[in-house]
Amino acid sequence: MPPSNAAISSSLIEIAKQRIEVKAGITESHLRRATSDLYYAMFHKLCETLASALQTAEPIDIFREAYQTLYRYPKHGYIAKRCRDKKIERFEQPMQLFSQQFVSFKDKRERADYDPVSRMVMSEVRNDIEIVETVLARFDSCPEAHRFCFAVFVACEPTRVIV
Amino acid sequence: MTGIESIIRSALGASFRSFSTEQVEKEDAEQVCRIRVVYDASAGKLDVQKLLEVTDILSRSGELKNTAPVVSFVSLEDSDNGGMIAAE
Repeated sequence: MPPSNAAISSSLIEIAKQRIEVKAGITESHLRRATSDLYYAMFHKLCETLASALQTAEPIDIFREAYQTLYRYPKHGYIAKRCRDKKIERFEQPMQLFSQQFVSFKDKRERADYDPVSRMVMSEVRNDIEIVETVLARFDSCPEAHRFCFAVFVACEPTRVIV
Repeated sequence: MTGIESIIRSALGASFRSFSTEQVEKEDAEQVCRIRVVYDASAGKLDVQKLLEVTDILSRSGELKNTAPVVSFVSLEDSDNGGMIAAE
Protein backbone atom coordinates (compact mmCIF):
# COMPACT_ATOMS: atom_id res chain seq x y z
CA MET A 1 0.00 0.00 0.00
CA PRO A 2 -0.55 2.45 -1.37
CA PRO A 3 1.13 2.05 -3.92
CA SER A 4 -0.54 3.51 -6.68
CA ASN A 5 1.38 6.64 -5.88
CA ALA A 6 4.57 5.07 -4.60
CA ALA A 7 6.53 6.34 -7.57
CA ILE A 8 5.20 9.81 -8.20
CA SER A 9 8.75 11.14 -7.93
CA SER A 10 10.10 9.02 -10.77
CA SER A 11 7.04 9.48 -12.98
CA LEU A 12 7.40 13.26 -12.66
CA ILE A 13 10.95 13.07 -14.01
CA GLU A 14 9.70 11.05 -16.97
CA ILE A 15 7.00 13.65 -17.60
CA ALA A 16 9.60 16.44 -17.47
CA LYS A 17 11.60 14.58 -20.14
CA GLN A 18 8.53 14.10 -22.32
CA ARG A 19 7.71 17.80 -22.17
CA ILE A 20 11.00 18.75 -23.81
CA GLU A 21 11.28 15.96 -26.33
CA VAL A 22 12.38 17.49 -29.58
CA LYS A 23 9.31 18.12 -31.66
CA ALA A 24 7.56 20.97 -33.36
CA GLY A 25 5.55 23.33 -31.20
CA ILE A 26 7.57 23.22 -28.01
CA THR A 27 7.08 26.46 -26.08
CA GLU A 28 8.59 28.13 -23.05
CA SER A 29 5.57 26.91 -21.10
CA HIS A 30 6.78 23.36 -21.66
CA LEU A 31 10.13 24.34 -20.13
CA ARG A 32 8.39 26.00 -17.18
CA ARG A 33 6.23 22.94 -16.54
CA ALA A 34 9.24 20.63 -16.80
CA THR A 35 11.09 22.72 -14.20
CA SER A 36 8.08 22.56 -11.92
CA ASP A 37 7.92 18.77 -12.41
CA LEU A 38 11.54 18.46 -11.31
CA TYR A 39 10.95 20.31 -8.05
CA TYR A 40 7.88 18.19 -7.31
CA ALA A 41 9.82 15.02 -8.10
CA MET A 42 12.17 15.96 -5.26
CA PHE A 43 9.31 16.94 -2.95
CA HIS A 44 7.43 13.69 -3.59
CA LYS A 45 10.62 11.69 -3.04
CA LEU A 46 10.68 13.08 0.50
CA CYS A 47 6.99 12.35 1.02
CA GLU A 48 7.46 8.78 -0.25
CA THR A 49 10.46 8.27 2.01
CA LEU A 50 8.69 9.62 5.08
CA ALA A 51 5.57 7.52 4.49
CA SER A 52 7.55 4.41 3.62
CA ALA A 53 7.46 3.42 7.28
CA LEU A 54 3.75 2.72 6.84
CA GLN A 55 3.99 0.69 3.69
CA THR A 56 2.09 -2.50 4.23
CA ALA A 57 0.01 -4.99 2.38
CA GLU A 58 -2.78 -4.61 4.93
CA PRO A 59 -5.95 -3.75 3.03
CA ILE A 60 -7.30 -1.78 5.95
CA ASP A 61 -8.75 1.70 5.49
CA ILE A 62 -7.14 3.12 8.59
CA PHE A 63 -3.69 2.15 7.25
CA ARG A 64 -4.47 4.02 4.07
CA GLU A 65 -5.56 7.06 6.04
CA ALA A 66 -2.43 6.97 8.18
CA TYR A 67 -0.27 6.67 5.05
CA GLN A 68 -2.02 9.64 3.45
CA THR A 69 -1.60 11.70 6.61
CA LEU A 70 2.11 11.04 6.84
CA TYR A 71 2.64 11.47 3.09
CA ARG A 72 1.03 14.89 3.16
CA TYR A 73 2.78 16.05 6.32
CA PRO A 74 5.89 17.72 4.74
CA LYS A 75 5.67 21.47 4.16
CA HIS A 76 7.63 23.07 1.34
CA GLY A 77 9.00 26.07 3.24
CA TYR A 78 9.98 24.11 6.31
CA ILE A 79 11.87 21.51 4.27
CA ALA A 80 13.83 24.24 2.49
CA LYS A 81 14.70 25.83 5.84
CA ARG A 82 15.93 22.52 7.27
CA CYS A 83 17.88 21.77 4.10
CA ARG A 84 19.93 24.90 4.86
CA ASP A 85 20.62 23.81 8.45
CA LYS A 86 24.30 23.14 9.22
CA LYS A 87 23.31 19.79 10.75
CA ILE A 88 22.72 18.50 7.22
CA GLU A 89 26.49 18.00 7.08
CA ARG A 90 26.04 15.08 9.48
CA PHE A 91 24.25 13.16 6.74
CA GLU A 92 25.95 11.30 3.91
CA GLN A 93 27.00 13.14 0.77
CA PRO A 94 23.97 12.10 -1.35
CA MET A 95 21.66 13.66 1.23
CA GLN A 96 23.73 16.82 1.37
CA LEU A 97 23.46 17.06 -2.42
CA PHE A 98 19.71 16.47 -2.16
CA SER A 99 19.44 19.33 0.36
CA GLN A 100 21.41 21.76 -1.80
CA GLN A 101 19.39 20.94 -4.90
CA PHE A 102 16.06 21.01 -3.06
CA VAL A 103 16.69 24.63 -2.05
CA SER A 104 17.81 25.38 -5.58
CA PHE A 105 14.84 23.77 -7.32
CA LYS A 106 12.35 25.36 -4.94
CA ASP A 107 13.58 28.71 -6.24
CA LYS A 108 13.61 27.51 -9.85
CA ARG A 109 10.05 26.20 -9.47
CA GLU A 110 8.86 29.55 -8.11
CA ARG A 111 10.53 31.32 -11.03
CA ALA A 112 9.02 28.89 -13.51
CA ASP A 113 5.50 29.07 -12.09
CA TYR A 114 5.20 32.72 -11.04
CA ASP A 115 7.73 34.96 -12.79
CA PRO A 116 6.38 36.05 -16.18
CA VAL A 117 9.56 37.87 -17.17
CA SER A 118 11.93 35.07 -16.31
CA ARG A 119 13.30 33.37 -19.40
CA MET A 120 13.87 29.63 -19.50
CA VAL A 121 15.88 27.84 -22.16
CA MET A 122 16.17 24.27 -23.36
CA SER A 123 19.79 23.64 -22.33
CA GLU A 124 19.06 24.80 -18.77
CA VAL A 125 16.13 22.41 -18.43
CA ARG A 126 18.03 19.51 -20.00
CA ASN A 127 20.84 19.99 -17.50
CA ASP A 128 18.32 20.32 -14.66
CA ILE A 129 16.69 17.00 -15.59
CA GLU A 130 20.06 15.30 -15.45
CA ILE A 131 20.85 16.92 -12.10
CA VAL A 132 17.60 15.86 -10.43
CA GLU A 133 17.73 12.36 -11.90
CA THR A 134 21.27 11.91 -10.56
CA VAL A 135 20.48 13.37 -7.14
CA LEU A 136 17.45 11.10 -6.67
CA ALA A 137 19.36 8.01 -7.85
CA ARG A 138 22.14 8.72 -5.35
CA PHE A 139 19.62 9.37 -2.62
CA ASP A 140 18.01 5.99 -3.36
CA SER A 141 21.41 4.32 -3.06
CA CYS A 142 21.62 5.24 0.64
CA PRO A 143 20.43 2.75 3.26
CA GLU A 144 16.68 2.86 3.88
CA ALA A 145 17.08 3.81 7.54
CA HIS A 146 19.36 6.73 6.62
CA ARG A 147 16.89 8.00 4.04
CA PHE A 148 14.08 7.79 6.56
CA CYS A 149 16.15 9.62 9.17
CA PHE A 150 16.89 12.37 6.65
CA ALA A 151 13.20 12.68 5.69
CA VAL A 152 12.24 13.01 9.34
CA PHE A 153 14.96 15.60 9.92
CA VAL A 154 13.92 17.88 7.07
CA ALA A 155 10.15 17.37 7.22
CA CYS A 156 9.23 17.08 10.89
CA GLU A 157 9.33 20.12 13.12
CA PRO A 158 10.60 19.38 16.65
CA THR A 159 8.11 20.24 19.38
CA ARG A 160 10.86 21.05 21.86
CA VAL A 161 14.51 21.89 21.75
CA ILE A 162 16.79 18.94 22.40
CA VAL A 163 20.15 20.03 23.77
CA MET B 1 38.95 36.44 -11.14
CA THR B 2 36.29 36.21 -8.40
CA GLY B 3 35.96 33.24 -6.08
CA ILE B 4 32.69 32.28 -7.73
CA GLU B 5 34.23 32.36 -11.18
CA SER B 6 37.19 30.33 -10.02
CA ILE B 7 34.89 27.61 -8.65
CA ILE B 8 32.80 27.47 -11.83
CA ARG B 9 35.82 27.57 -14.14
CA SER B 10 37.52 24.82 -12.18
CA ALA B 11 34.48 22.55 -12.57
CA LEU B 12 33.62 23.30 -16.20
CA GLY B 13 37.11 23.77 -17.61
CA ALA B 14 37.28 24.76 -21.29
CA SER B 15 33.47 24.77 -21.60
CA PHE B 16 33.10 27.79 -19.33
CA ARG B 17 32.30 31.08 -21.04
CA SER B 18 30.67 33.54 -18.62
CA PHE B 19 28.36 33.92 -15.66
CA SER B 20 26.01 36.44 -14.07
CA THR B 21 24.60 36.66 -10.56
CA GLU B 22 21.39 37.98 -9.03
CA GLN B 23 20.76 38.22 -5.30
CA VAL B 24 17.15 37.55 -4.34
CA GLU B 25 15.46 37.80 -0.98
CA LYS B 26 12.66 35.26 -0.68
CA GLU B 27 9.33 35.72 1.11
CA ASP B 28 10.67 33.76 4.06
CA ALA B 29 13.58 36.24 4.35
CA GLU B 30 16.01 33.60 3.11
CA GLN B 31 18.56 34.80 0.58
CA VAL B 32 19.41 33.02 -2.64
CA CYS B 33 21.99 33.89 -5.26
CA ARG B 34 20.87 32.95 -8.76
CA ILE B 35 23.93 32.18 -10.85
CA ARG B 36 23.52 31.78 -14.59
CA VAL B 37 26.49 30.01 -16.10
CA VAL B 38 27.02 30.12 -19.86
CA TYR B 39 29.02 27.28 -21.38
CA ASP B 40 30.09 26.29 -24.85
CA ALA B 41 28.42 23.00 -25.72
CA SER B 42 30.79 22.52 -28.65
CA ALA B 43 33.57 21.85 -26.12
CA GLY B 44 31.76 18.64 -25.13
CA LYS B 45 28.83 17.49 -23.03
CA LEU B 46 28.84 18.74 -19.46
CA ASP B 47 29.45 16.08 -16.82
CA VAL B 48 26.56 16.08 -14.32
CA GLN B 49 29.04 15.39 -11.52
CA LYS B 50 30.72 18.72 -12.32
CA LEU B 51 27.37 20.50 -12.32
CA LEU B 52 26.59 19.12 -8.86
CA GLU B 53 30.08 20.08 -7.71
CA VAL B 54 29.53 23.75 -8.52
CA THR B 55 26.54 24.04 -6.17
CA ASP B 56 28.19 21.83 -3.56
CA ILE B 57 31.42 23.85 -3.43
CA LEU B 58 29.60 27.19 -3.52
CA SER B 59 27.39 26.01 -0.64
CA ARG B 60 30.40 25.10 1.50
CA SER B 61 32.95 27.70 0.49
CA GLY B 62 31.56 30.68 2.40
CA GLU B 63 31.90 32.65 -0.85
CA LEU B 64 28.18 33.42 -0.72
CA LYS B 65 28.00 33.66 3.08
CA ASN B 66 24.48 32.68 4.18
CA THR B 67 23.11 32.82 0.69
CA ALA B 68 22.08 29.60 -1.06
CA PRO B 69 23.35 29.18 -4.62
CA VAL B 70 20.81 28.49 -7.36
CA VAL B 71 22.88 27.60 -10.40
CA SER B 72 21.57 27.35 -13.96
CA PHE B 73 23.71 26.06 -16.81
CA VAL B 74 22.82 27.62 -20.16
CA SER B 75 24.52 26.84 -23.45
CA LEU B 76 26.13 29.65 -25.42
CA GLU B 77 23.69 28.93 -28.22
CA ASP B 78 20.68 29.46 -25.92
CA SER B 79 22.07 32.52 -24.23
CA ASP B 80 21.52 36.01 -25.53
CA ASN B 81 24.44 37.14 -23.35
CA GLY B 82 22.44 40.06 -21.99
CA GLY B 83 23.97 41.28 -18.74
CA MET B 84 26.56 38.55 -18.64
CA ILE B 85 29.83 39.04 -16.81
CA ALA B 86 32.55 38.18 -19.28
CA ALA B 87 35.02 35.53 -18.29
CA GLU B 88 38.46 36.93 -17.57
